[in-house]
Formats: sequence, structure tokens, C-alpha cells
Amino acid sequence: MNPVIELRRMKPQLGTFVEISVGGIRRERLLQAVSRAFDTGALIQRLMSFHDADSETNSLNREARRAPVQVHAYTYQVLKMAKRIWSATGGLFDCTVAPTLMEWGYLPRHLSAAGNYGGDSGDIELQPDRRVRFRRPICIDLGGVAKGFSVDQMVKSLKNDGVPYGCVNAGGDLRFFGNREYPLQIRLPGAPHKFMCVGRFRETAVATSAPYFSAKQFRKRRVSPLIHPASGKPMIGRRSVSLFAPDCLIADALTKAVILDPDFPQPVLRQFQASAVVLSQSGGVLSLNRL
Amino acid sequence: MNKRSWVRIALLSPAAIVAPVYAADYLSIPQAQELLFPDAGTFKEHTVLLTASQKKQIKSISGMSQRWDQQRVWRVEKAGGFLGWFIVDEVIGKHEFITYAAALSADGKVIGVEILSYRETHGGEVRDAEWRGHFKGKSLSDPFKLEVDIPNISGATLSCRNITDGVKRLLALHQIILAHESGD
Repeated sequence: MNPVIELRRMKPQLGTFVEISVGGIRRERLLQAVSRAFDTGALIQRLMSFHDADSETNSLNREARRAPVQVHAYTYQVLKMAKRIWSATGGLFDCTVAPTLMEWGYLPRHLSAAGNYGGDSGDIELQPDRRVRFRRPICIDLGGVAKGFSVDQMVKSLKNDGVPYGCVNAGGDLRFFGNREYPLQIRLPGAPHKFMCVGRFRETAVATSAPYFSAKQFRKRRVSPLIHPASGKPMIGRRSVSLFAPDCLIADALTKAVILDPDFPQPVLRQFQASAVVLSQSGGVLSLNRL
Repeated sequence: MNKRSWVRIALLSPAAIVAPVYAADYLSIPQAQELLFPDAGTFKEHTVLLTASQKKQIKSISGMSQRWDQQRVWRVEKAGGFLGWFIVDEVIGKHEFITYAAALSADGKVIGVEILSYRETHGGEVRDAEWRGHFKGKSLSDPFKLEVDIPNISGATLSCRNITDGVKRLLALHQIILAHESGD
């Protein structure tokens, strides 16, 4: 039997639709807990949004090259994980491809897209007291991990408020928590309004990357926001990659690395207790990496 | 992760189960009112009728087209004091059709936004009058039950830009009409 969900709410947050489904305790308590979880999401959006010129992400982009900038514990934690995953994926996950995203119109141009950027996530220097400095001129966008991080923090907040089970889904990056099994569906890359049921899961986070909603023409060229950091080329194939991991930040970040490299090394996935499901255009399972 | 789940995956043939287009109701209008204005005493509903010139003004202020001539708004009060506005609006995206509620403070700032109803589409039928009519037949003020079997869908991220744009349009509507009604 599927878990009984007693409350579901959805808000526009982090540039997408965030849905929280919960159950197991009185409705009044669920309402309060869900409101607090959404407050956490709103805080993370204010800190990390690239679209908001006043976010900490953009303070860093303006100032961290000149002098260290002190950031919120959340931002510091995300940067630390982003660096760790950058290093583990051999640079395939890199939060410094923002200049290309600005040029292609995926991000607003708060700064000059054509600035003299040169560097990668390795140039983010994390100092004591949550201070951050950029060793080289880089421009960061935490869009690739902030949603996953937010899902994790919202789940933490719901658990702290005594919610026994539920799901937080930030526009396709989701996490199930509690001692209940949930059916999971993945969008078909060739027909994303259709879904394929892939099984039932508990205590698992899943994130999916694919260019089906975001690919577009830019100056007679097909582009997507899934950019290979080394070549600068966009991924425009029709496959999707869904990453299963214990927490959503890891799933969110690793899915971007795996979609860029069809031969992504298994040991790296194992290191993060993650597994990948790659779907072809028609929904065929191209690869299934087991734990 | 639970290893058993993986065995189940392997047993499924690809694309064996294809679910229909996703649709979900989240909150009724009274439920959204209570969440967005927990301290409110009364919600006085009235329908704002827009002239062609007002619609033009909304477009020039917000950059967004006001497609319909009527907008449902509620004036929110507590013990005679004016708290703000509760507005129900609809937006059409590339892939979705959404009914949402926005709460504006007395001075026209966004207090909060709640999605009431979310319909995902194949893309084409969103402008189909019959399809929209079917959707509109559902009364949002009726209390409804949640389906037990909820599809949890993982996929590439859908942008909520259409909501952001919708709220911009409502702020323009506030500026040219509601702001002048605040003293009523």
C-alpha cells in the first residue's frame, strides 16, 4: 500500500516548482512543518540564486576575487560540497560555467559574460570563519546543486518538526524520507510528458538531468545548459540520467557529471553511494549501475 | 538505498508503465486564504473588470499580456483594518497550466504565493478551449481529497518563470486599479 499523504503543497521556489507531500501526524502540525520547510527553501533561494543580483552567490562573483567574503553556513557548505564533487568527477561537475550560461541566455547578465574569466571550481578558496576567496577570476552559479541542497535541508526541517514520512520534490529533484516506500516515475526523454515507473523506494534521493526542457537554438546552434567544462560544448542528446543517492545534493550534482560522460567511472558513484539509470529517447534503460 | 528496489527495477520491462499527463490539486481557495493571511477576519470577494486601456497599461508596466477581462480578487480585512489583497490567477506555460493564489500586502508587496492546481500538458492542448473548459469545471472552493497514489516524478527541471511573470502582471494590476481602492 502506498503511504497516506495528508498534505501536499506546492510553491514556486529556486526557479522551479517545489512540492512537499507529507503525512503521519495531525494536519495542523503538518501545515506548520511544511511552512517552515518552505521558509528554509526561501532562505536558500535568497542566498544562492544567480537571478537575484543581491544574493550571496553574486556578492561572491563581484567581490571574492579582490577580498575574502564571509558567507552564510549554508552557502559555505554548498561550496565545500561543490568543490568535493568537482574534484571527484575530474572536473565534470563545475559550478564555474556561468559565463557560457550568461552568453547563451540561460542566466541574466549581472556581470559581463565576456569578462576575462579563467579558472574552475579549484579556484574557490574556502578559508576559516566561512570566508571565501576566488584565486582566479571566476563566475559561479550554484543552480546545479542549490535545488538538491534545498531538498535536503527541507527534509531535515520536516524531520525536526516531527513529520514521520514524506517527499520533497524540487522540480524533478526529489527525496523520500521516513519508513515508507514510494512509487517513483521518471520522465521519458523522448516524450517528457509521459513517465515510466521504475520501482518503489524509501529513504532515497533522485535527481534527473536531460536537455528536453532546456535545449534551444542560439545563433543557429543547438545549445543546452548542460555544458562540458573542458570543451565548452553543450549536451544536446536525447538521453536522460537519473542519479540515486542518499542525499539530494549529491544526486543533483553527480547527475550533471554522468550525463556528460557516458563512461563515467563506477567507483566514483560507489564513493558517494550513488547509482545511475540512463534512459534512451524511447525509455529504454541504457545502463543501470547497481550498488 | 534499498537493494531490493533495484531488483524490482530490473524486472520491469522498459516503458512498461506509462502514466497519463500529470495533474494535481493542492489547496482550495479557503485553504490558501488561511495560509497566506492567517490573521485575517474577512475576505470580501469582488471581480475586477478591466477595460481595454487598463489591459494595455498592465502590459506596458509589466511586459505581460492580461489575457482576460476579469480578475477575481478578495479584499482582506481584520476588525475593519485593511490587510491586503488575495488574488486567484492562472498562467499558461509551455508545458503546464497553473492556477495559483498570490497575497499582496496593503502597500502592494508580495506576501506569498501558493499553487492551487497544476496541470501538465502535451503542449498543444493548452490553448484548446474544450480542454480548458474541462479544467474550469472543477470548483476550487470545494474541498477535495488527495489521491492516495501520488506520482512522484523525477525529471529535468521545469522553470517557474510563468508564475514569476504572472505575479509581475498582478503587481501591475494592483498599481493601476487595486491601489486606488485601498481606502474603501
